[in-house]
Amino acid sequence: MTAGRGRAHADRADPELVAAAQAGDRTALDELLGRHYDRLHALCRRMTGDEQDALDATQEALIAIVRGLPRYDGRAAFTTWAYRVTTNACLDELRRRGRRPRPVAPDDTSAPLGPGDVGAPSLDQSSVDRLSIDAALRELSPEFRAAVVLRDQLGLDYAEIAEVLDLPPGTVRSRIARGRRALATILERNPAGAGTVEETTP
Amino acid sequence: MNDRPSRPTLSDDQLDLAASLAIDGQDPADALDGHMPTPAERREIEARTARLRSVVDAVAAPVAPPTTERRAAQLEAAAAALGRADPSGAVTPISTRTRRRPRARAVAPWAVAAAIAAVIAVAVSALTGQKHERYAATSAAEGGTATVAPTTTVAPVAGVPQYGAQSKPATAPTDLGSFADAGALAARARDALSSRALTAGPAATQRATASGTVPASTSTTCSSALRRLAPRDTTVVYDAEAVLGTNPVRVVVYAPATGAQTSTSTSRTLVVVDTATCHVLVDRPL
Repeated sequence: MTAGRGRAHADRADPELVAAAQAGDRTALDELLGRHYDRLHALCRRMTGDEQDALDATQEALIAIVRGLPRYDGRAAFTTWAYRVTTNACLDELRRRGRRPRPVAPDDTSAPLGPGDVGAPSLDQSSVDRLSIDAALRELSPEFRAAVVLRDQLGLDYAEIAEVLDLPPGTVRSRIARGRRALATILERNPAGAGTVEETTP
Repeated sequence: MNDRPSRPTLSDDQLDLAASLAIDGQDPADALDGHMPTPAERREIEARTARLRSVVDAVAAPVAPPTTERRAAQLEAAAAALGRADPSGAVTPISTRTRRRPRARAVAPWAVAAAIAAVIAVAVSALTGQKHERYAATSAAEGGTATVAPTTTVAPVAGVPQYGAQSKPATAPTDLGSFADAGALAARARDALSSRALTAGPAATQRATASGTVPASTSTTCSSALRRLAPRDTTVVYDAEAVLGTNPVRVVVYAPATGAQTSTSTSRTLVVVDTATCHVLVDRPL
């Protein structure tokens, strides 16, 4: 791929890149996937609560996107479709792993602490840190977790989330509200974020 | 108007929904079904809004992206699937959850048939004196620190029927190349092996192998119970269930067990593989 061609792709909108990728243009596909990779990974990271699981789910999602691209008809925005595929990949990953609430060991390599996390905004409350929010999210049922993560991590509006999750908008706003309330309760009961909290299904 | 009798009459759900809507810039009145909130209710909504906002901020905190190398490898592995898409749908389906539930029920009769076939196959092989030590659980490798030297019993790249008497090689082994991690290798293997080996024929023959290369010291996690599919003296470094068409399969990546294993919890084990070559077993039935 030449630099010039790469720049040309970088200027193109998603629908153009999708069309080119569907026609077999590898560089367009590279640009398309690279453009959305970080957000897809972030979705997986919050959905799975574990970095290794997130990487697995991200990989599965990317492959599913590529393999499903010929069947993508453009009726939904590419991002909406990609988030749906990724959410499904995360749900598959959670089901495969038989995820249960589990303690977060001090040496757990999945602990979501990293250089990029230092100085994260709006985290002035010690009880609401990265470790605890991951543990708390794991306590939510995946359906509620997906709605909250799509809204609060990815910033999708209710209509977009409804499309991604194939739910009525009213259900989406209800799940978000109840999911947030459950998270607040979990965090207040367990400021350390350990997985000792009781199962919470909003 | 006297404020004293205006205690909140809205339900918890309504109050939280109003607070949640307020955070998202929506009109909280949408949650109140036309009810005009009392001053007490307004204060309660404001308090709940503040409470939920800290949660929103925490969920919204930036997620550290993977390393550049990992990112590039994942993108490369995915892009490599371009042109190999199967519009017939004989791949892991992209579907909503509402569509997935019936599929799980549809598999049940097949699972019953597969279980019966497996029992019969094991019985027949036992009668013929064939050994099944490959199925022995690798419990010795569980927990603590263990180092097992590779032996000649480590499954070679070839898809020889050494995992059970009822197995036979589907085709010649496939070298899939180099991958960033076991997960990428497994995904590629599933893709590569699906069309030729696992979509037709009796369940007892549904097994195929491939190999690929991953960096040394690859680490991943797996459930100890899942190692039983792999040959002895190997270490499972990736295990996943998948669906090919309507058939559930298990994808297992294993390697000579030369790595240290460090137990990090009761349910998961971190496996560090000190080898560059992994083998992939795509197996059906589960």
